[in-house]
Amino acid sequence: MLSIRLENLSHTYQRGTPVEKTALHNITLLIEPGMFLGIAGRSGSGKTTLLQHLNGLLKPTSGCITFNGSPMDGHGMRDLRRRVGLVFQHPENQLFEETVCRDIAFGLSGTGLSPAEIDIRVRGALEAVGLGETFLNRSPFELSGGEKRRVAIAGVIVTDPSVLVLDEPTAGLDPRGRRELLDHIVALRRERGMTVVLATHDMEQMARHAEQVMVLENGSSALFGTARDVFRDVGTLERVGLEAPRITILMSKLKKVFPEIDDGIVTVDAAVEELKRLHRRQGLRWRDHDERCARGSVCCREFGSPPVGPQDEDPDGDGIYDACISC
Amino acid sequence: MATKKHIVETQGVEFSYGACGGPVPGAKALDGISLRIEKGEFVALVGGNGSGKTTFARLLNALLLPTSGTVYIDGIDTKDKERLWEVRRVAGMVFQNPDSQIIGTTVEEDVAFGPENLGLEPEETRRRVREALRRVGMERHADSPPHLLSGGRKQLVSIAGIIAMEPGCLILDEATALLDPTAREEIMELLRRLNREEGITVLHITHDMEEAALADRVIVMHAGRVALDGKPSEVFSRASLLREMGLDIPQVAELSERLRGEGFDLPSGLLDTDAAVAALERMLAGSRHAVHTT
Repeated sequence: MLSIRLENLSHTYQRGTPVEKTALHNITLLIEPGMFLGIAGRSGSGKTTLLQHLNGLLKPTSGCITFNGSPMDGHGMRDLRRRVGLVFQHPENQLFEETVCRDIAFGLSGTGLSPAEIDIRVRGALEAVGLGETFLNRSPFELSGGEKRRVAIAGVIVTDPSVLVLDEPTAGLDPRGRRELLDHIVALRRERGMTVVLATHDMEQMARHAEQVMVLENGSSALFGTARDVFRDVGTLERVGLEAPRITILMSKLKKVFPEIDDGIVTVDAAVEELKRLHRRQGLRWRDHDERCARGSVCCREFGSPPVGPQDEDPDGDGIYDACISC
Repeated sequence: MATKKHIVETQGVEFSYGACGGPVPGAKALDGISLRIEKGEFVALVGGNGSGKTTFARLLNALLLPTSGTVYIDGIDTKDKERLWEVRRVAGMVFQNPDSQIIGTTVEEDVAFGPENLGLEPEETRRRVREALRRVGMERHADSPPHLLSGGRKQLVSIAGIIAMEPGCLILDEATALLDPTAREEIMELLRRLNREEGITVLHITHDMEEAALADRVIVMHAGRVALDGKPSEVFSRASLLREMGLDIPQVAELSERLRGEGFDLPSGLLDTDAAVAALERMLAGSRHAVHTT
């Protein structure tokens, strides 16, 4: 288990030169064990710079990053890089070995594991990314783009990291490739209790999987919270050049007509459920023939509002609604 | 016989990569493609990895020649060696990764590469370059080194390089795949403007179904064949078929198809957010009304 804490972390490239550029500015973030954290933001907003701090590839120019409470020095770096697996953008460019098996096993060289143990680990990693044993002896260069990428990810997870950091893992893949890759990562997290940090432009993907989302804008944190809370803030997302999932935009437009709609809907599944619930409730009748609610007030008629309210339920299941929103 | 009305016409086109060239030696990458694209159409071409989209695009500007069948570009058979450069001028191609097609040391020089090679007068080349940069909104960056631009701007420069050759058809092979949402939107807006205002035919190959939904026509390729071809609303109402082929459908379409599947009264082929809001409003209001009248 590894928790990573960033405190007022800033990073400036080429500091003290005319081309110095601050890529991250005062980021404070706690990455807890088992968390699924999404990092969103436009190109150039600092996502990659942030990710590269998580395994010590970059060091903060101010502020600090601690791993289980201790700062990282030179000695622990090797161990840290095994515990935090970083999958770069377009990782398939790093494949270099003659066979898939040797490529995946590369990360285990020098660990002192026996060949038999290495074999088990390699097979496990290949399986975890959804590729069968038939791939073991193939050349990584004859595989399709999506397969290459999965082999490259297997080469990282073979070291059994506690934290898996992925930088745009699905860029350029087709819809099925994107979905399958993410499903494998979700399964890995479930089986091994891995922490996952995912940077992506794909807001629908983010909405489906991430528990917490940080949105970066010019190196600063523009939004941080649960996926629901972040995507509900359509205005801020637009300002930073991102778009909430289409379904969230649709539901927030519908909310103008039906104010009772939950405005934190980020997936199609949730939208279908919400609309069915709403439809059911629209069909409920007032207990009173006069189209007033059981509490006897006239407010509902005056507001012209449908019979909905905080007492959402229809306890008797008779299709008759007992109170309106104002009562 | 191909007519000039169609900027792209293919008749029974098949293509196989040689024994070493393709993922599966000898397999047909394209298996009988016959279709026509009219001048001025905005067409999205979608399909999973390996469905033949890129192969098809490469046949259109004679980077590849069909194993059998014929490809006509603006009435010209792409096998006609004499007219090869004419074909490549008419069918301009933009690739996925801008870094692989930018060669100039300044933006201006890069955009000039195409027109210069058409053998135009220097003055005419200069005029076209200026004009192309203006049309993509990059005139202020004429002297910048292109490799320092963002990915989205690099793609704008690539497109400028193509439109400076005054093509009839712009073919984009996943040209938005590596861009962030804002840059994607900028490219899509530019494409629509070039299409609507200047009548340039656009063939946009993409994995993004929301982008495809913006086209006038969507062609779906699967296993080297055309699986679906029609208006976005028609194509995206075939949700289960698209999913079998490994594709997604836009979220709005998915929502309405799912609700329709559960018996709700919604029109098929909803794609536009505002139209969907109106239809859902009617659906919900209808349920209220139905109860009141009983």
